[in-house]
Amino acid sequence: MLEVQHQQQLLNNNWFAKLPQAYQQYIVQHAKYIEVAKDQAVFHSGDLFDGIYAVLNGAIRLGHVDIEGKEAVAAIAEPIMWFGEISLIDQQPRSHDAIAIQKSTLLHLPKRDVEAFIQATPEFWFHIAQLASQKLRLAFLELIAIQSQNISQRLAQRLLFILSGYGNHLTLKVKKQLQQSQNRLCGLEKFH
Amino acid sequence: MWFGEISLIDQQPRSHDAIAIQKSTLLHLPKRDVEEFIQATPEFWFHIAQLASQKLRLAFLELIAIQSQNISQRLAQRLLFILSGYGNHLSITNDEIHLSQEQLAQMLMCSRQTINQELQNLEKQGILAIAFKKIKILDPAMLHKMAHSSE
Repeated sequence: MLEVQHQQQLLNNNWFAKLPQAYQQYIVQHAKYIEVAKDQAVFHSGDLFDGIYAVLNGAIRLGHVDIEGKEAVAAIAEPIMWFGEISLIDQQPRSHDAIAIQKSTLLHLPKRDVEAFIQATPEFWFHIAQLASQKLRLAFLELIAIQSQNISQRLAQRLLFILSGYGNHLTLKVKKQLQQSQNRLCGLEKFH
Repeated sequence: MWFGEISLIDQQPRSHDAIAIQKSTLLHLPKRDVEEFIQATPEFWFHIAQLASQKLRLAFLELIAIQSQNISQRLAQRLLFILSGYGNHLSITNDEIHLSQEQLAQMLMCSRQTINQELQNLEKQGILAIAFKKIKILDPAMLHKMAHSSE
């Protein structure tokens, strides 16, 4: 059972706020807290599906580190963003790594619970589809931007994505400081 | 390949253009019909979700590849994606890709000269054959090896 402050925090998440109350209740009752240290993996590319996650505190890098240690970032999940739904939908192993950039607190809705809920409530697929389509819309915009925009425009777009929680925040709260190192932004925007 | 599901899922306007690059024949499942079917059969959302997740998986791979792979690897990966209908064909049956070098260059965000050079390298190795606005893949296994090599 989640603490009240985190239930409040979840309600400020666009996706969660639009769920029917029974769905919200199920998540609140079944999700578990997970603490990850900086550089700790939530999952690796190739791992089997073990559930979906939401970031409550901290930041998780969705990307890949190659054998030489070179880092590539597809997206950065910050509070509150859900991730891990791709492998739920296509039942294939994880497509990318999820590694904590900093000490983070996550919600984990384990495989067993999410599958049991979907079994009983197939309409939940609509909401799972929303998680994927939200990310897909932004990934397309980013891929299009790489081809057509200059680095200033792309940096501006990426900063706005991060501030809006990649479309997850109900309102855009301006943070004093983005929790991204300049290097990481550079990695995101490297290709031009 | 099916497309157009993003706006069905999030009920927002289209996120991008969809423009024919050659004379094409499409299937169109109109809004009214798809919505009516989903209303009666909510399980259909699972299959709609699959369309989105398939594209998302590839979009993430592409975003990662741009940052970590060289142009030869990315070209090999992209040619394979196209051959497999971006994951939609049950097996690779077609060995021809109908794209101009300009179009490939645009997809991979590099110059046409670079693509031309890369394609010629692949042709020399017997991996593909270049024709007018057409590329014939001769050795998909080798292409796969190139896409997944660490250098």
